Amino acid sequence: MRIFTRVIKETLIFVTYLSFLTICNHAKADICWDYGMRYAHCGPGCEAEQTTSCGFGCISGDCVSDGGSGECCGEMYYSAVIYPDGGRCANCPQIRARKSTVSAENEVHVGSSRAIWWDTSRGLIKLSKNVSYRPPRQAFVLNKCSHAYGVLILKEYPVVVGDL
Amino acid sequence: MKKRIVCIVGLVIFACNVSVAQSTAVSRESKAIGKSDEASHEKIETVKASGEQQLVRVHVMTVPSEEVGLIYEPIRCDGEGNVYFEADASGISGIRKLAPNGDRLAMFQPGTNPDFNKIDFASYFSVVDHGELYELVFPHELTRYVFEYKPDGSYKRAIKLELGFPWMPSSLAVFSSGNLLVSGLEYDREQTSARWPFTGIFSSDGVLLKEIKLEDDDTLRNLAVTGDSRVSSPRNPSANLAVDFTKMEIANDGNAYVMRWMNPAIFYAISAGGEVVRRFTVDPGDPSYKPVSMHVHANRIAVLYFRPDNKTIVIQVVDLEGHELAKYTEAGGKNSDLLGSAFACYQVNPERFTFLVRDENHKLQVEVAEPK
Repeated sequence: MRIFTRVIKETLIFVTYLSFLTICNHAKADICWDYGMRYAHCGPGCEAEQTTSCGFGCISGDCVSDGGSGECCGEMYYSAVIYPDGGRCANCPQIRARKSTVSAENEVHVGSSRAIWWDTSRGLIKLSKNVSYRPPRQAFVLNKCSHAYGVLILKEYPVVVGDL
Repeated sequence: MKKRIVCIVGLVIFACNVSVAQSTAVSRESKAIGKSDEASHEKIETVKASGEQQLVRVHVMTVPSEEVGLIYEPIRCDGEGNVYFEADASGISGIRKLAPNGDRLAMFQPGTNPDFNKIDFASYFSVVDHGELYELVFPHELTRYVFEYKPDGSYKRAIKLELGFPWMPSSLAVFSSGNLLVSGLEYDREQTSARWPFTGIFSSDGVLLKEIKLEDDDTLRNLAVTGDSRVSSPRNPSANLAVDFTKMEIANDGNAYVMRWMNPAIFYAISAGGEVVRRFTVDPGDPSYKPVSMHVHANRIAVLYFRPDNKTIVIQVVDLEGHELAKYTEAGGKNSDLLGSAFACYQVNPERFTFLVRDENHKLQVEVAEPK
């Protein structure tokens, strides 16, 4: 009987743990963000700047209104930066379905801080037109002495083609 | 006599060649921007005027009472010569309205609306004939609004833009009927994918009357999809600058002129009923230039292009069909001699260009330039 109770208890704990994980994985952010963009003039002979603000939108994560900064004609300015967490936005349920005319492999995904797109033919992530990056890969290596497999993480540097 | 005939024949052949060369260049450019054969509206090929003129400053007014840092787009004028602008300055937030003599007449501040606790930011605005100001405002919610203000800066009403799906409007124009033309980007179902250009006409109380599909929408979206640097922003991975920095103004033919932030700049004339009357492009002749600003006066459009690498400007003046009437550069010199890119007003007869400049003491300068 004790053993039965213990099994039931452990099962319950395990199920609760699994439920917690499941809920966490599908957590929806209550507040999501987007950038408000404006074009700003600094002064004659100076670069004009693109500035950003935090606004209510459909990117899950945190937005820091002065997370970025720059200097323009001696004038310091701040710009917003969104740090996406990859979550879904509970307040953005009714996005229209539109059909893209560009193949899926060339799509830019903008949830991260940099725009990247996949080049599936070579297993690369393109960071820009000329810079590609191969994500870390796992490899298994047989240890002939211990008769066990070791795990290697293969990291690669960005591949630059032409100018940055 | 024979020599003369040979010369005349030679000149005719040369002129023909130049003409053919120009029309070839225009059609190539048009194809590059994704003209579709099915479009029913009028299409205009840009006709270039020859020669460039220089702009010279004819009047400079420093306004000691107006402190400025960065000066934001858009900058507007009304029929009475008042200037409307927003700039960084400690303790001042909102759009300032200055009289031609530099006196501040009003401030337009979305925070004065008692119905909204928190405003995230405000962006584009438009001023109509009687001095009412309409501003795109983003309170801390997903619904987008246009705030209408009276000419004295007091809040009049909030127009809720009823769209039914999330989007980020970025430009607006107000027709004489009170209907609004608004353009922006709507989200893709895959929330991290490039967004879709959206343009629509809304009634004066915010109901969507008509969605307008513009000819280059898909092309512009595809440029964003592939990360094309012409529309991408290092500051905002989800940007499509062609749409985010769109400019709109109403001309005296009653149509709204919409300029996409591309080089060549793409223009659409859109009627109050939502019909795309015509499309044309305005080409500065150098792909390094960005069409920063545009103003319409009477039946002319002045486009200011800014070249980031050498900080020079070019202003092209075209008629409402895109035919080039003039092209201006500024006389070179020290930075203090330059006009800058903060193009505030354009006026025809006499032709005048007004610029806003921050002086070395962070005070506003209003500069007026005329063709040399």
